Amino acid sequence: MSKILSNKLRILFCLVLINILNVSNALASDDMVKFSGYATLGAIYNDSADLGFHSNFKVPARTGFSLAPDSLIGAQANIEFTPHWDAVIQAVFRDKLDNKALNYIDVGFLRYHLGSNWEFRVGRMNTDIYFLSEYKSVGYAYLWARPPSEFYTNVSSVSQFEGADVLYKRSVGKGFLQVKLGYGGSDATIGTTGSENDTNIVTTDSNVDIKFGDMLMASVAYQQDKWQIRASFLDSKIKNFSEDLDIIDDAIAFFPPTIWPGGPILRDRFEYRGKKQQFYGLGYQYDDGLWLVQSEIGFTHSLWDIIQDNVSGYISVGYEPENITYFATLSAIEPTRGTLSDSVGEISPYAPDAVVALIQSFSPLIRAALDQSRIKQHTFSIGAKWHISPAVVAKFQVDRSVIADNGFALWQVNNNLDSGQTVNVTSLNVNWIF
Amino acid sequence: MRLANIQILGFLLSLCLAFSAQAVVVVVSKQNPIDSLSKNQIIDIYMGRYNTFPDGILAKPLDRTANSSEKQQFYHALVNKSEAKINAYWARLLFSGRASPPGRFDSNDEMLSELKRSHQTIGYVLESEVDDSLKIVYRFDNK
Repeated sequence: MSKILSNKLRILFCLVLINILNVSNALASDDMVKFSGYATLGAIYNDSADLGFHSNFKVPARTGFSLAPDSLIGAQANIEFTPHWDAVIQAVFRDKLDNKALNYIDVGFLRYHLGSNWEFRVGRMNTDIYFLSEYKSVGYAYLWARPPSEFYTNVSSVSQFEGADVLYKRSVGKGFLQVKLGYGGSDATIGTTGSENDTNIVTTDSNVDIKFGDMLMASVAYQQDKWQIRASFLDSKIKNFSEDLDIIDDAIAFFPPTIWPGGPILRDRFEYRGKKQQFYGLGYQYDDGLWLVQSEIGFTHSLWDIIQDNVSGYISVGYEPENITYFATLSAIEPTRGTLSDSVGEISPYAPDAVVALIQSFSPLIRAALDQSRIKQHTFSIGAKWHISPAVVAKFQVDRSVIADNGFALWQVNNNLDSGQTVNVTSLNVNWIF
Repeated sequence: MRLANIQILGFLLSLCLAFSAQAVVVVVSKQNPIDSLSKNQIIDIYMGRYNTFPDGILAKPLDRTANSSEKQQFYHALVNKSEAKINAYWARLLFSGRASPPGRFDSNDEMLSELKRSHQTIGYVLESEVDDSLKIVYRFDNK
């Protein structure tokens, strides 16, 4: 059912694209098609050779000096068919792990305005679950060199979806209220933490394809004068995962439940099909023109042990006396279920010692699988944003990340590490809009 | 002495008149049925919250040229934000696909011409620029 829906959405998306391409020339003379764009030329220096840095699970991780993680160019067309119907298509060219041409389209939707208060969209859209959800690629539009990794990278694999949403907006008191509800699905190619030489019971490749379905999202935002608050919720279900559980399947086939009663239970912990995850987010922003304070906190709850429960958040303070905004940010992410068990589960007391020893030998593989997805770290960042001209800003930022033992899942681990690490990432970028 | 005082008073009065004549006012075309707007309604239109006037007619807000004193004065009076903050705000709305920024023009004359031509447009001009084809719907002074 959801596959049929997904295919229909793809067809609709393609029809919208074709429609846009067909009518754009005809409408251009009436200024009903407006083109715009943005770009970032960014350089980073990651002082760790062991931990590759990426700000998004969908892009390759880098060490040393690199232009790849932050540099990008985006182009957008806004098409107004009638006062009630419009469409937006946005392509972003950047370094990424998958090679699907369609995935260069970050946003492509058809929208219907019903009166002044309602908007209905269908197509590919950004998942509106945090402040920067819908413009995180537009470096010009926010304070930092990039959004805080602990909060934003953690949920980057569900940052877009194909489906539909409805927005209700209205003035309330002296402020403005927006309520959004959406439903859809998402495919992502993401990098895994470990190196290709690692062995565990789940992943053996450096990249995996993951498909989320039944994504239900809701957000409420209220803005008044100098401040705004928001709350969000996302529920999603794993539909597909390109890695398999062959090792554990073979073991269960070899040692039936009469010998290893814990085997099926263990397999269920790592089975992805139908496993749900929820994300709950809260955000606050204050901006009086001189001081800026922004903070968000998010809770992830998962029924799949490969995506572990965590709490993440950040607080950032900016001071803008003139054309330069100085800022400092503290961000952190912690697992909330402690260290997950690497027990192989119950083994029959009648099992021979050699069999018990063989089954117990899976324990380090279970530990490796769990550790590979564990995130525990905090980062302190300082930086400055300089308004060079009305359309150009430059940013400089230094991030010092302290990563706990076996909490490396926001990074690409190039070499096995025995203990926690401290990594410094220095960023300099120029961002403009056109 | 009295003559000097009167001259000073006259000079100050002319300064005040000159200052008030340079105040920015919000205008629509004379053909637009709207007679007045509240500050919140102008914020709704200029900050991309609604794309219609309160009567439901499509609204097309227009901006003065970048870095003009009128633009800075308008946004400071409207939402107390600098032009740089307004540019970043619109980058967020534009590239999130939520709304398109007010129309931009290479010169203020072009903006005035468009303002007078269409009954859907809304703009901000110096009070001295208002003529019979335009209608003031909001004044910032003393509000």
